Amino acid sequence: MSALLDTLIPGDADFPSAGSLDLHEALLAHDRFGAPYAAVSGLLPEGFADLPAEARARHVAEIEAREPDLFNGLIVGVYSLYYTHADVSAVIERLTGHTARPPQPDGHPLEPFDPRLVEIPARRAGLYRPTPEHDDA
Amino acid sequence: MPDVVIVGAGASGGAAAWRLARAGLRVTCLEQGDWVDPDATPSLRPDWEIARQTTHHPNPNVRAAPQDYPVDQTDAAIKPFLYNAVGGSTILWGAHFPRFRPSDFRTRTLDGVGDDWPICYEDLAPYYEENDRMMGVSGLAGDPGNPPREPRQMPPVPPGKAGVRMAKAFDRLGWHWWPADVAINTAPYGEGRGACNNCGPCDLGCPHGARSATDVSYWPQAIAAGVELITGARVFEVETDAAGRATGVAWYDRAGQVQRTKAAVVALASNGVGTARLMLLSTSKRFPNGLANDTDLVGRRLMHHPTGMVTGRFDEPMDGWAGPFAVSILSQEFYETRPEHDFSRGYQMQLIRSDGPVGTAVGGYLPRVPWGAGHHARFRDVFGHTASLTVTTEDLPRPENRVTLSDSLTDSDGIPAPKMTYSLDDNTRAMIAHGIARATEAFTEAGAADITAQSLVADAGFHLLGTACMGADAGSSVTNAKSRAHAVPNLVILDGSVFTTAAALNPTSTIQALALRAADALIRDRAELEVAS
Repeated sequence: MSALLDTLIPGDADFPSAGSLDLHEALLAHDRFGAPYAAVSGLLPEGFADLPAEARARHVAEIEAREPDLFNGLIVGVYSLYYTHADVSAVIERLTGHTARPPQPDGHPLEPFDPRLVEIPARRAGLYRPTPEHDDA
Repeated sequence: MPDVVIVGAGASGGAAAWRLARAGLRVTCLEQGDWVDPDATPSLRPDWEIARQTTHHPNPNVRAAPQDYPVDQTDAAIKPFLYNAVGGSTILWGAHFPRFRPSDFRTRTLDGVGDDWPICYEDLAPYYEENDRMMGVSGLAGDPGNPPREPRQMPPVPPGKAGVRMAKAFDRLGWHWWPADVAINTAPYGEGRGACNNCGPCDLGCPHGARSATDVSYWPQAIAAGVELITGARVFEVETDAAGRATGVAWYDRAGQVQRTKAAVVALASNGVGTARLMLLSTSKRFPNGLANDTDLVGRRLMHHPTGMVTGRFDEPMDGWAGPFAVSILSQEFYETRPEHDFSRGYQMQLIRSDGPVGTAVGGYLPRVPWGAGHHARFRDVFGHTASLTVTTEDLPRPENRVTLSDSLTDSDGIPAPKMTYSLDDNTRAMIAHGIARATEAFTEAGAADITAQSLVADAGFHLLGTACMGADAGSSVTNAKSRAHAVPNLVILDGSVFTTAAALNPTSTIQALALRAADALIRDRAELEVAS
């Protein structure tokens, strides 16, 4: 099944391919992602893994066109497990600075608000419309 | 027997419960959900983004938690977002906290569309202020786009790199913008509530209590004032006497056993879908079409805030994964009706940050990152490099947009689910198109490398409004200016169902201000109130 995963998310110089990670079992075992993964896998032709990359992509694209909801479930599952995998998080941290840890408890620095930012908009006249009860705009 | 039984412990139920109990009324609140443990937030776990796609998804049909009820969305262009818990949908909200403008209460008089509210901005202004103190608001007084207000409790949330960039673009264009009022602590505020640490996914809960929700703001004080809060209580009927006065509610407990709570006053606070559902379920000889539904308006006039989305990608990193995801700055430049526009009323543009890795890949602000050979290149291009402007439009009420009872779905207790029937009209489409063009102009001015627009965000049904509308005329509305049903004098509706029109901005501060005002009216009138004998 790594052929399907590699077709969806191939590797490159920085990122591992999805098939090279331990996603197959995790997807099958997942209570929400397992069903679409198994269903799409079941739609692949015999010998899929032996096909050239372009032919594999064509088969997957046909399934996407034929079963869009099912395929969307597959994508959400594969992307979710791939981008929360520790190996991938480490790559993202190295490339972007997005830390490979949960958002909490550490968060990110909260810089103070600079009030000089509103000097221009604060000078504008009242922009809300007067109403019969409220005519000081 | 309580004086008041409230159905729902969310934004409005919590506010009203506190207010009523402080005045000495005996209050019981029934909530079908549970308390949410802030220390169990998924944002403490590496799989936090998976929770967003599954167990903490805002759509109850996707989340499918035991306390949820499904919503039939087969005929709805916008899908429902709501949550069932102590705190209601404030458990997963972004905490954007703007107020209505004065014109929002007078759309018929000013623009010849919608209907005027039976109250005006000045009627709500003191309740907005009190509600701000209770919830805790960060922001900056002095916005020329709105009437004056008291200094905010805390300074604004910093806008981030993209916010600064867009603010300067708005300045060059000569457009209004201002730091958003948000119910997020930028400094410790409230009982045991700390300051925001800029983590990002406010929708998953806040272990510091910095992002306000009624479970950490109103409810501790309401319970201290004596409110009895019963969780796991799924109300399925408002019961009435032969004259049509409310006598109490019937509900299922956790064991599926029917319980009854009698009260002098019944108050509904279950959001614009849940309250309409409950009223439609509550049929009787006096009300064969549903409680207080003599006019056939219960469930009708469902309003959202139809939202377009424009996302700019910058060559430079914007680090938009840091900071409260939904709040930064907003522009109300095109909020009011203008003669040169081909639509009535207007919209707000709200700058939002970007997403984590899963959210970026799965899509939302931008289309999904394509699978296959170009996947990583596209991910590198967009991750942390984008910001988005929502085009949040005013949705004018139409009777055909409505909540009914589903004939195919039920909840786990066998109660018919609500069904949303909803479509957009030409006025809204024109407004969104205009907003997309203006937001594109703003991103262009800000130097975005490329810009992508979505004409309608379907997953944006977080504001559920108008299904038991307020009005001066009993023949064309469900409740009066005190949020009490014209046809049932001891039935109060506290949530966004009572909205006469929707405005073009986030409704929670207005929902809560209305709830506080309704509670005050009840306190004043209780001696003369007509209740069941």
